[in-house]
Amino acid sequence: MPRVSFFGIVREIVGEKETLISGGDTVGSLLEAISAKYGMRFNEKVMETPERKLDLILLLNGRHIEHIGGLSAPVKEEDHLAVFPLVGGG
Amino acid sequence: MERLNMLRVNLTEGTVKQEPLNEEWVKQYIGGRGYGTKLLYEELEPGTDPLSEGNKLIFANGPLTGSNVPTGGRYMVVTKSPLTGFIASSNSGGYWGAELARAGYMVLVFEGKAKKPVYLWIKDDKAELRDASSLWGKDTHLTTDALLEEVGDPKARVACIGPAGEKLSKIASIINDKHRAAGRSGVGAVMGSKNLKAIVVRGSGTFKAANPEGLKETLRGAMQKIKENGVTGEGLPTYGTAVLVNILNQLGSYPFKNFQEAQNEGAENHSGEKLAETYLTGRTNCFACPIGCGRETALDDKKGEGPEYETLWALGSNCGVNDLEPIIRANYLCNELGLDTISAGGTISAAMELYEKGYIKEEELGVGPELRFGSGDALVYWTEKMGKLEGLGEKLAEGSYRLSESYGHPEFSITVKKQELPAYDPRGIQGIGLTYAVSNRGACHVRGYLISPEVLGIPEKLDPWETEGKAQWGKTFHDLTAAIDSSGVCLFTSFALGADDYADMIRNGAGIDLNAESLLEAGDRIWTLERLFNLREGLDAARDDTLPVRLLKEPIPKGPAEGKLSRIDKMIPEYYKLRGWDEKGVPTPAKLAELGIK
Ligand code: SF4
Repeated sequence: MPRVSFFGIVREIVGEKETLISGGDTVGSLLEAISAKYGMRFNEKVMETPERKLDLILLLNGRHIEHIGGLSAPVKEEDHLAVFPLVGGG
Repeated sequence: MERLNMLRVNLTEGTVKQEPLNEEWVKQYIGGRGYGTKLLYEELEPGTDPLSEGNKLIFANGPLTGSNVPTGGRYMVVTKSPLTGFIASSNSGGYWGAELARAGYMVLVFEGKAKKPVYLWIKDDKAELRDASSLWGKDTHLTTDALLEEVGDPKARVACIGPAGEKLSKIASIINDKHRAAGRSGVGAVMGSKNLKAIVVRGSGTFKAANPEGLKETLRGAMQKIKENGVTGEGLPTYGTAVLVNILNQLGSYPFKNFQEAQNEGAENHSGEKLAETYLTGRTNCFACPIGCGRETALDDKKGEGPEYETLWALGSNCGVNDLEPIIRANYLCNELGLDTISAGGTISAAMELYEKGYIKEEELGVGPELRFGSGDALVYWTEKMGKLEGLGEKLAEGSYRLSESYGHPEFSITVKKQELPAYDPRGIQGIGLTYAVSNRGACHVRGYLISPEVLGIPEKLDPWETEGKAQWGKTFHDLTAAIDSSGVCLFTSFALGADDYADMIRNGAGIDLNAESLLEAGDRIWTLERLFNLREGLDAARDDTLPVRLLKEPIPKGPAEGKLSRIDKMIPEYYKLRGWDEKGVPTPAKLAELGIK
């Protein structure tokens, strides 16, 4: 099963660091499976806050999804998705 | 409009003179980093030993320092660096710069050398040199407290050096407001070489905008953008910079053990998330800052600021240390003794590699703990020795390049122009490697923070593994940053603001006629003048605009970026061309004419 890790504010919202989730063969469907698992908490706060959608940085096996097909990037059984809120620094 | 003034302090003669600013230079170079560079370029005798009386130490505010422009509290220290032998320009926030502006000054220039330790006390238009003999040897916190008491005004602001600067460590910083550092390139040693312990300042003036109505309008828009931006409105205020630890580590571009590896299994233990659960006590802001990225922490009976991302990495991962406690201790020591945390960490990590490979011998350690990667005890002990220049610490205080070279192995020093690299592995993030290599002040991430597009996706997502297009991105970022650094505003605003916003703020705030295009041109001019300074001091592009051999020849051994090397050779020629420099990295006469540099 793909492993999903949460960081920053997303970790606080879902209440755990890491989980195993089945049911997604792309990043997009994996996100849906995550939403289903964490329910309103995740949907409202991460996917769609009243003000705006939380910007996320999604790394699949250490690669930003933007460079491997975005939400339709394929996800395999042993893959690892890291979910970060958009942050910055220097 | 009416400009603030400059103070010229001759420490040999003991004189303090007020001078007007050069209005032409303000138009061309803005202030801060740009104005300081122009002043140094015009006044410094080429070939001057950085730690001799002949060097000049310049503190330069931007024209917006002390204003109500968001984050308008930054100042820059410009001098010839004892670490690199090239230009130093180290930026700091806090409240000291704004207080200097209130007292009526944009620039301070120190010349010569005092016969005994002194400090400068500025109260509005009165400025005098005072004896600092009793403070010599004291750390930056004790010095600050003692000086506030001595001048009898708790609202005064202090910038000072600690023992590291006094004893001329080439990685010594200048600390203001106890916790903020003009950290890099050994600026603290230049201050120490002049017997100048501190500058205490108190002012009563207020900022006068050139066009108050226009500025109000501009600020309304700028504040809105800062608030709505995901990084400046949420990421930085909530987590500070430390939350980057896990991102860079997941990317496999988080250097570990002196860049021998690029992913660290234990990084979570010193991450921003962990810090928030453990030692974090609050948030701090610099002057007029709506972002507030500063972190306040407490350990035992001590309170301090930080560690920031760079520090967590340099003193943590790069030394193989994952526990927060020794990292925080070493961070506090750096601030108290006046050491740059990035260079301190880069030097200890090089020492650990030298020791583990048998070049530093056990007998050299005295009673100190073994310099082994992962040893928190070694980190704390050797940071203190380095800051006090005791025992082997004296060699460490020279920085990693001179240390490694003294053992015949300069390749263990992960530096550019002898300055230690920051916390992003350029093998896995190509563009930032270009910034490191060409940065005029030696390895630096904040001369052009390409991490923003390459990792965070701001303003758009670039592939960190690709080199294509990075030269242009680099040039644009470098120029914009040079202009922001000259304005007195914090670089972190650039996650939310663009060149037109800065031009509007500078025009309405300081009456300098700029638009987005001429602002970037001013940045280009500043960058180019820094280059001319370096060339005059002997810079050789082939030798100096490059990366340590490890990053060019030893691929990342494992993790997502396994097998990657830096390919700066693919970017530098194009970068020179875009800059209007020849293939040896020398600005062409046509380019100089275009920029109005004589
Ligand atoms: S963003 Fe951080 S470093 Fe910049 S001015 Fe604000 S508190 Fe200071």
